[in-house]
Amino acid sequence: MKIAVLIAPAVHPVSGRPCAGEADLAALALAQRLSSQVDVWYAGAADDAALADYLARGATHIHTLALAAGREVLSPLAEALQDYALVLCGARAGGGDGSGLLPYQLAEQLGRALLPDVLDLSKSDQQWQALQALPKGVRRTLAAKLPLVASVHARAASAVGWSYARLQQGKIQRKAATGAALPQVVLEPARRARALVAASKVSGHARMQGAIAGGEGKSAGIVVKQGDSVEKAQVVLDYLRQHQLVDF
Amino acid sequence: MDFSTQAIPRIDPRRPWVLGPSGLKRIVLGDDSGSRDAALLAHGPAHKPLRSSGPFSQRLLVVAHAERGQLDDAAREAIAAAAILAGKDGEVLALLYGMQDAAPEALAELAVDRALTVADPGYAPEQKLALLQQLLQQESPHTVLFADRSEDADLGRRLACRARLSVVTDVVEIAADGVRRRQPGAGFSLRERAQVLLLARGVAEAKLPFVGKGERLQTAALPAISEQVQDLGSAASPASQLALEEADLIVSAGNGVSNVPGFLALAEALGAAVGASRVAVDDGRFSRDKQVGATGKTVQASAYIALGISGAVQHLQGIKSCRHVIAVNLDAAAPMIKRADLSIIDDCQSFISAFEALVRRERNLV
Ligand SMILES: Cc1cc2nc3c(=O)[nH]c(=O)nc-3n(C[C@H](O)[C@H](O)[C@H](O)COP(=O)(O)OP(=O)(O)OC[C@H]3O[C@@H](n4cnc5c(N)ncnc54)[C@H](O)[C@@H]3O)c2cc1C
Repeated sequence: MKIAVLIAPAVHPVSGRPCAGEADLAALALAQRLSSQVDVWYAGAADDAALADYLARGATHIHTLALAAGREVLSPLAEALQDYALVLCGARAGGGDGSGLLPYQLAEQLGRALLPDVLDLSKSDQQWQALQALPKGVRRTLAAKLPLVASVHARAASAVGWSYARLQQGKIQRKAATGAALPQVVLEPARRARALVAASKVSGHARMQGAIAGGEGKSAGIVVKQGDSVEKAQVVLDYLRQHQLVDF
Repeated sequence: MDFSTQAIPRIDPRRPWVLGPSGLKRIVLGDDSGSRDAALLAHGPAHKPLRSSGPFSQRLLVVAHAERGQLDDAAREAIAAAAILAGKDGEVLALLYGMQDAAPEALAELAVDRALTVADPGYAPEQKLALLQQLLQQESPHTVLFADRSEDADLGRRLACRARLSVVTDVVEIAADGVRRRQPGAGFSLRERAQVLLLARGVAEAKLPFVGKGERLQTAALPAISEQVQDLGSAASPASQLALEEADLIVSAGNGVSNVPGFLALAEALGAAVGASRVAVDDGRFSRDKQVGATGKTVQASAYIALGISGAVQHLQGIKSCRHVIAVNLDAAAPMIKRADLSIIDDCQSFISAFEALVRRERNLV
């Protein structure tokens, strides 16, 4: 089965240079585990050097839809990916907007179901099963039929190590494409963001009282001094049970 | 001068008192039960005013998923942002999943004016989208806000793509000239205010000086629409097998824990992930990847049990987003005790063995 993997260069957090994105690499590795026919696609304005990292990390051939900067990539991508029953992409790109919107837009455009934040994919008779990563270690199993779009969690699989030989052998094939112009964005240097704060009309005395009552309006916790260790252990267990923090 | 050798009778200026049957304050000599904080009580419980009593001409919608019947800080901030943006004639409408049991006072305290509470069906994006679109049509809010994390982030993105609404994700600041989002590797980017906003943490101060009306639309059921994707159920993997950042239950050891094997046995019995303070790591008692704090890992467990950790600021930084902190320490004045929701003043070693035995007994592990 042919699988399409979408990639995009990420911004290296230290050097600021383009590199391979974690989630995209995981998608590539997962696809290669599932099938031997993996097509790697990229749409955008990045040059070949920015994509080189992916060649070195296991992509043998990258199909590039070359667009001018500031163009939307959705429609050219959707057109190119029509015939793939399974499309994988990283849950979030580490560069560009990095908004995590593309998988949703793509699924909507192609009229397919989306499996978000996938850690693992497997085929069981007619269906595909996906393991979805939720916060705090919860894993959900989802099942759906092809055709599908899946956004892959960064921890799903690890790609092969960087290799110069693969970098030399890999090929990038460019094809010109067009997309609608996106609105211009204004970039600013990062600074401390200003939070919205409600204007408070309380008296100075009330504010003082609030400050004494403990930080962030949180009432002080319970302090247990009495009893021996066994009783105190029981107190802790009761607390954990009362707040449903343990399941026994 | 003649000093008496007798002890000077000292009078505690904050002697505890009780309210007598006649409503008068009475001090019972030698008794140390009763109320001490007279000054705080004299003003009565603080009453927050109503944000706005209406009539409303426009509204904002906040959508949030509760966990164990409670909203987390990210969702509270989203509601606070809506309440601050609403203005005098704006109403804060909320669609809350998994909060059917919340009292109207609790909703009012969140600054919600009107809430639709729905039982959380798990993974059901099509049904949730249908309900949301129905609500958009009925109420026509000008902005829909979500917290940009987990289920809310997913639903927000789905809504924006399905209903073709303008959307800005990872919003870090809402200002008069537009909204700012974090752009990977390029600082902030300034956008126009969109119909759907997905908010990063810290956009608004969750503590509000006012309450909302807290009315409740009747509890609605989700429309019966077939899902393309089936939910086969979810399971929490045991915390001991998870990365520290992901774990929901963590036991953490500090300098006060000398019996490391005993501590690890407790973690195993509880099924909790293991963390440590920097001192315990530097000593070589734990590996570096276990360190919690400014120079270690930032964790977001629901429950964090700190054993023999003093609670230095560098350590507290790492546990900022933990909901329940339980501290065990010999020193009742340690900063960790101030942070903790439950503090046990006890020796770690005896507590650990007692707690482990209790947990094993309760789980029938023995
Ligand atoms: C730049 C910088 C970065 C740092 N980053 C981190 C970081 O990321 N994470 C981190 O944790 N620290 C960090 N630290 C170190 C931090 O300042 C503290 O030194 C450290 O957290 C203290 O660890 P502790 O609480 O385990 O030890 P201690 O401060 O020694 O506290 C031990 C506590 O255990 C109690 N105790 C002792 N014996 C017993 C007993 N038998 N039973 C019960 N309680 C007992 C004591 O009362 C005390 O409160 C950093 C420091 C610096 C300068």
